[in-house]
Amino acid sequence: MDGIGASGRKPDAAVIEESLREPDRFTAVFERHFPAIHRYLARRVGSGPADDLAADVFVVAFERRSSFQQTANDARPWLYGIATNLLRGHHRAEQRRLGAVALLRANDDIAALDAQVAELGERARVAHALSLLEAEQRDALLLHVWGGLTHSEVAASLGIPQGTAASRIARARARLRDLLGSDEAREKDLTVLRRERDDG
Amino acid sequence: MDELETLERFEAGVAAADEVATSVARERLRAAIAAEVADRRRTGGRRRGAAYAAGVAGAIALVVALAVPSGPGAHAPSTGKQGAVLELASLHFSLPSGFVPRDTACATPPSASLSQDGNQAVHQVGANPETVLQAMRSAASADGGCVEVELAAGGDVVPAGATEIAVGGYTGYLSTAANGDLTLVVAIPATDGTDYLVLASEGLTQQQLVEIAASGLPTSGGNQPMFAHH
Repeated sequence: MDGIGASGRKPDAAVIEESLREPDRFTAVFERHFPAIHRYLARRVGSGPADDLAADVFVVAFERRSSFQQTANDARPWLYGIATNLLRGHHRAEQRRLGAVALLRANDDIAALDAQVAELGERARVAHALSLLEAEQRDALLLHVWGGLTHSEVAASLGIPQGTAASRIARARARLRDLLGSDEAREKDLTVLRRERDDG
Repeated sequence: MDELETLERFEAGVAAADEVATSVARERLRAAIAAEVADRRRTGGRRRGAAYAAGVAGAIALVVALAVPSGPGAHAPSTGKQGAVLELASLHFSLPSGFVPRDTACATPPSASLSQDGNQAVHQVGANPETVLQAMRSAASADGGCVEVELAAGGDVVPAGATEIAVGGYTGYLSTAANGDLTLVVAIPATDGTDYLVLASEGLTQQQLVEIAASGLPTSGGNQPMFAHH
């Protein structure tokens, strides 16, 4: 358990176990994972709320470290699970954020004329699609894509069977594909209309 | 277009955690760590206060083991005959006939394990360790039945899956190891929490163990604080 991993550092589980006797050791977990956890949260609720939430994640993790499953060397699924639980209290904030980004769609006609604004258009489409996903499916999908967790790690993170995690991710992907696909079709229609307009 | 690629590109103005945010989060964690460390120190001090109040000079917890001769009837339920008296802090436990105090541990600490961590003896009971006794631990073993009694302050010492039973006017938690050894934890009100009387035995019946525990506890029951913590 306390061996050195291939990366040349002690596994998270060993560090967390040590922190039960020497609490200060837990700062190593923070240094390893804070940037990634913050980035994940920032993508979901924005940078400002993510500052507080990411800090909360590590305080909660420290207080609950005795419950960490020592069989799981990597603390990421555990930390993302705590982050996901904390996010549930910010569900409305996340929806507002996605909705605000999605409102950029109003400028779609103009966006087609400017590459930078077009990028905003894509964000708007993705935000809109994400806002339409069921919360459970969105959690699983984003832990997988943005958190970089495998299906089994997503399952561990959410405390659900691996099959359920895989199912939620698959459904979320299919739904997202449909939503983005319909947007792409709409975008193609708009492009044709714009070209016809420009050709006059 | 692959929906996952699209999703991975989705940033929506996300900025990486800046130094200020990282520093603030780090300080919050350090504050939580400091609070826990301070709490551990405070708990240790509380145990010392309890021990002094109980008249135990220089020790926080005292463990005494008792031995009983082997042979027929040695472990039979108490017949009313009283043996020696076991003193633990200000408590006096009446022992079944044939029991004599010892100053060494039971041969095999029942459902408990002992380890040394620096100058601290860590007594793990059941599934919840962390009852740190900052004092010398003395115990005894015997040929036949054996019981160890100790007083613990704070910590989660109640074994997982223990059965709640009445011990005089107190609440006790009894657990049985695979080999039949019994551990009895009795909750004792303290002025600022709960202390625990822990009895671990080999070869004793539940009735014997409960009788030993009940004999040493005040008959006022479990409502009045027994020990003053400073």
